Amino acid sequence: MKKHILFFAAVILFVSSSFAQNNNYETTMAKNLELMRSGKTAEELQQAANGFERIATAEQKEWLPLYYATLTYINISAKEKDESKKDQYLDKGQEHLNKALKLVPKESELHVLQGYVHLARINVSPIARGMKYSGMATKAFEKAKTLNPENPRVYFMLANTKYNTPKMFGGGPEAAKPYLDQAKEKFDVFKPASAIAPNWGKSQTEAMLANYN
Amino acid sequence: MKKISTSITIFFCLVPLLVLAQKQYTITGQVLDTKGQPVIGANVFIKDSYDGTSSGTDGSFTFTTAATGAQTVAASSLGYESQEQSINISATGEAKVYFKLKEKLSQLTAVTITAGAFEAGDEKRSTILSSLDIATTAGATADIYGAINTLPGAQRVGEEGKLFVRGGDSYETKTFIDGLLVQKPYNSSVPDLPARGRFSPFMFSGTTFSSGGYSAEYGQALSSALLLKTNGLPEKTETGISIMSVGVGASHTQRWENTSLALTADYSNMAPYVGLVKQNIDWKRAPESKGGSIVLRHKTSETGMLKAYSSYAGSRLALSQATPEGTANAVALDNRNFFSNITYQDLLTEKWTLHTGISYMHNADDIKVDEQNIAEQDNTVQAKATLEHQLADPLWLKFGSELTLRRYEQQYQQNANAQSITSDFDETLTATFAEADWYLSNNLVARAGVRAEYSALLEKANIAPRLSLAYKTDEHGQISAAFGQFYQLPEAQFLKINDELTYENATHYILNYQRQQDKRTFRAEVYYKKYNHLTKYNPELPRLPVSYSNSGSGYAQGIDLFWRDRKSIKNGDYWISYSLLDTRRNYRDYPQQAIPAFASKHNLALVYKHFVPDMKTQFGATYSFASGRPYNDPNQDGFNQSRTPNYNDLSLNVSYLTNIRGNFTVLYLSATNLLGSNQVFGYRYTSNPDETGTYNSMQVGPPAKRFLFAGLFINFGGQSIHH
Repeated sequence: MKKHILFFAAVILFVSSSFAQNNNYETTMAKNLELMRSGKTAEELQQAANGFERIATAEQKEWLPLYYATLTYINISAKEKDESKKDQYLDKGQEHLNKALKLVPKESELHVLQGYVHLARINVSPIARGMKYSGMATKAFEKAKTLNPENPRVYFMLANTKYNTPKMFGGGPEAAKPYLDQAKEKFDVFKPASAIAPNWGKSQTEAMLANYN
Repeated sequence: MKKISTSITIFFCLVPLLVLAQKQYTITGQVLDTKGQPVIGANVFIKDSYDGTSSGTDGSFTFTTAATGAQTVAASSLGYESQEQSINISATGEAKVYFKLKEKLSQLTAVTITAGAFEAGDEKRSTILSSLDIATTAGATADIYGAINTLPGAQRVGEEGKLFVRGGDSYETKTFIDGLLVQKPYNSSVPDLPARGRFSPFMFSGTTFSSGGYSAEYGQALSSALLLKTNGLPEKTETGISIMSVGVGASHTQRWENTSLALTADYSNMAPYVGLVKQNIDWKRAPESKGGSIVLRHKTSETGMLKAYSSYAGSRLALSQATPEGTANAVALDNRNFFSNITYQDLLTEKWTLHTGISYMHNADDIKVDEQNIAEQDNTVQAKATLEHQLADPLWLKFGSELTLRRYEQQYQQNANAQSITSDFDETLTATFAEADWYLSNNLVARAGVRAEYSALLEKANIAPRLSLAYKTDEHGQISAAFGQFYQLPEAQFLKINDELTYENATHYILNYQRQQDKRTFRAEVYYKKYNHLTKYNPELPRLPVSYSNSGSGYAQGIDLFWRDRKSIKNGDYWISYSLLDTRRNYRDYPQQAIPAFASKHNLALVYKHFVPDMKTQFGATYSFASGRPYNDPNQDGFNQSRTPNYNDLSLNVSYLTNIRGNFTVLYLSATNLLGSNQVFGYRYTSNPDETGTYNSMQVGPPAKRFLFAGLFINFGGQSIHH
């Protein structure tokens, strides 16, 4: 009997501590997400990125910390003015993204993010890089679409790519509209897999759609 | 039993409390760089835990952890090497950790050698011009060499159209595509008709124009190397057609996952144009050319790339060329050119990169001058292999060998009945080079290299050391210096008569300052170049080997200035180049040391580009000025004693971007010498004086006062360009 009880206790101890650990993962992630969302300056965003990096090193099997680290570096890059530094931040983001892609190569969200990194590269030198990177981005979004046609961010990002492409190359607001409509449709039924799973783009889609009226 | 279950319950309730009640320890410290400056925003954390923080504006940090005992604290920050430290967290007192992070060597932020080199590319930070800049420079009419002519160090020589760099003749500049020599980079031409480059600027994603002091990887160029890097895999399948005032062209690119194949064909004929626009030349047959190319790209692996390019072009022209004697020569040219360039590169291991390639060029010119027939065939094969190795983090090695085989043959016939005289040579040039780039820090780099060559034709070897240094003075500015020895075989026209000559030689000394900040670039460069062993000959006896020697010499010195500003004017972009040149030489048939006929003391180029988004139109203007060039007036004492008038040119271009039925289309218009300035390149004198004892002259100028060009370029295949 005593043996049983000890075993039972051990199980409880194990379960509850791993629960605590797991709980800790989600709460720390949530805390960092809050930091990322509220971050206004590059410094604040760097703190969020650092947080995600810490979680990523501790949780080698999770792709979400890497995902958000990349996303945060894209945002830092957008705030940076120096062209070469913009690229350095994106390089750092790409590094994390590559690790995430090794963990879950078929995750649609990661391919959306890959396309996003490519689009961000264009801002460094639109005339010189536009053609190359918008092609690469579109490819990544198409890949994300094949992996999960229900991912609303695929359509949101495709809409963005179209929107920012000059009219003479087949882009512009009119060309982006069908993608925005599709994005809206998908966002309306989209349920994130967890509280910390990717769940952005809906409000931006609605804001862009509002401009058409 | 009851007792036990109670204790279990108590235990069960306590577990979360135990977790929560763990004692927190404080860890404080500071992150500095090796210079003692704070590193802001560094990530500091206990390894394999969530515990950590970011360093503040003074580099300091404080965070708490529940971990105890021996732990590893790590600090990392963008641009620095990460660092780890072991600490022991004991129950008493707080732990203090201090980091001194070393700057990471990074190609993006590290100093680059800029002495002598102008880079144009699409990716790199040090880029001063992009490939598009080259294509859209007014006055250049999408000719690479025309655009490079607006950079400091290059000299406007209107009747040649070639690159003359820093007091060097055009043969002293060599063009390399993906590291391999292009023996004839210009279209064939006849005297006084400017040549154009053979290759479209759109073929290349990177261009480095080196006006001196370049790497030991390149040889056989006394003055300058133009390094062209071809595009990688094209983005997508597409078809293009072009309709121009001087011809038509078509291209198709097919793209597969790892492979692409592109075909181009073009035909040009100046006949309709010269019929419409008044010419200074009496054309008998306006220039006509047809050509095509095949371009293959194949990604052999994640890191490997195979590139193959082949092109063929045939061109013809005929004119009646006036002579100062008042007569006219019937001149005709027929050229056929085949060129092929195949390269392969791959990473062998993480630290070893292999570049290999082979190129072949066959060029045949048939020239008729009245009764005389001159046929020239030039065949060159070059094979090259280069290895790059990262020996240590800051030390890069590059070494390789190349083999160049050349067969040159010329047949000369005084008239159809005369016996043909053949002059020819075969050359086997072997070269090997090694070079090391040593980054002493992110701010200081030294490059030392040496190149050794052996010519089987001359039966002579040469060893050329090259040395460059660059030091970053602050975030935006840097100083570079370069020194180097450069050797080149005498030109084919001399080697075909006498193969016992020796290498011509030049020594370069260059000091450069460059500042790049906020889309503005300033460059200043001073140089001194010493020439030795230039080829000389006796013009009275040009067919006798003994009249040739390497007794020529010369020097060139000057200042090159460059300023580019892409910031001050919204949608506007301009650059200004100025070169001051002092040069003299005694070469070829010069009776004494003199300023060569191609050299002007002052060269100025002002290039402006303006994009008007509402009109989807880019306007471009280029103003060029060159002070008068020397020419020899036999009616006066001395040699090259006279000066032509100053050269002025204002050229404009307009590109209108639109789409025709959803296909991206560019309408392009350009005009040179808009103001109609009288451009004089020199004078040609009669060989004998008239009865009054004077040599009569005629002016050498451009083929027409202005050149107007219109073209429509349509791309099918829905290209997407992100703005």
